Amino acid sequence: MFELLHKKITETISLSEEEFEFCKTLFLPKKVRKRRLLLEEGDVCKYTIFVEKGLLRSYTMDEKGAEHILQFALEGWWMGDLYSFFTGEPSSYYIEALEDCELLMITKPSWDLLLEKVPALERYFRILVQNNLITTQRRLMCSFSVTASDKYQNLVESFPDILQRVPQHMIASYLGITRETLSRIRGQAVRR
Amino acid sequence: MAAKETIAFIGESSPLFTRLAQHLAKKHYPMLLVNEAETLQAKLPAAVESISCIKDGCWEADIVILLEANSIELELLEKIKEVATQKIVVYLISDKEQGATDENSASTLEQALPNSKVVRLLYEATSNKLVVSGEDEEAVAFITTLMKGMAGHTIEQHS
Repeated sequence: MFELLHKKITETISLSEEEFEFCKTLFLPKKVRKRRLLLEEGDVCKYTIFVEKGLLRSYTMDEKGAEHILQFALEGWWMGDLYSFFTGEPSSYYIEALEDCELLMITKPSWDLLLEKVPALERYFRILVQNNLITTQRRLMCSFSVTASDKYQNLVESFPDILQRVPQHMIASYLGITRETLSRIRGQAVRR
Repeated sequence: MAAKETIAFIGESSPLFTRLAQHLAKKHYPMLLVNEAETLQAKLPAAVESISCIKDGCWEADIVILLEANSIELELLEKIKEVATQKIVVYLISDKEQGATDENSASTLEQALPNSKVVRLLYEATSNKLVVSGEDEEAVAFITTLMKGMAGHTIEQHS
């Protein structure tokens, strides 16, 4: 149940067996069925989530009810609304399971305790937050300056797995393009 | 995350369980009745799904309610220990079983599930009162709120 989390953490830092055993006592393991919502807009994001198995997405919904996907999280990824998690303010996001999932969830008080008792994890989480910031900035820049075709190409190269597991309309939403544009780009890519 | 918590009941269906399930169904909580012996779907309130694997039921749940605290077995607790970490585990006991059985249940549970939030739910049959108590204040408050409004029952919270 904790194999992937252990693997991911120890790729970045070294952790004693005792430290990891303590770490395990603070995570809430949860099996979630496909399409189940884990967070709804207006609620406080009580957990930050590690995906052991399955696939999650986070999205916002505009006043017309259209969904805008912010992030997908595959096995080994973390998901949550960090703003809401750290401030205790209501979230603007939804988090949904796109597949049956096995998750490890941690609350803010448990997270604080974990970092206090296992200081080595400060480095692990700092790198995570750093990478999250880089990804967010890159995604923001791409939304201004990169063509739809290049956005799609970047996605294919970075996360080929996602394309096999996520419906096309969600890929289009994630890229900020229409389904028709995505279909055209995919057609061009096949022809090339 | 206020997306509704899943509640797993472990044990046999009983009149009190049916009343609890009907109350929680009105609040739209997804529920599972976990019983290894048989699947009971036909007899259950519509909102409750039956599941036969104790570990899977508790893994999927956010809150676990043990319906037969007087017959808690270490073997069962061992099965759910790994998946009940940081979850609220409620043991339901009626006032008829209070005393030594109750104390045994409490200490057995707390020793067997050291990383869960154990909450005691005492049912006083004569007054139809539910008394919620436990060490974890947040968990006790949550279960009290969950039980509030249950038709014909009064709820009391003890720290």
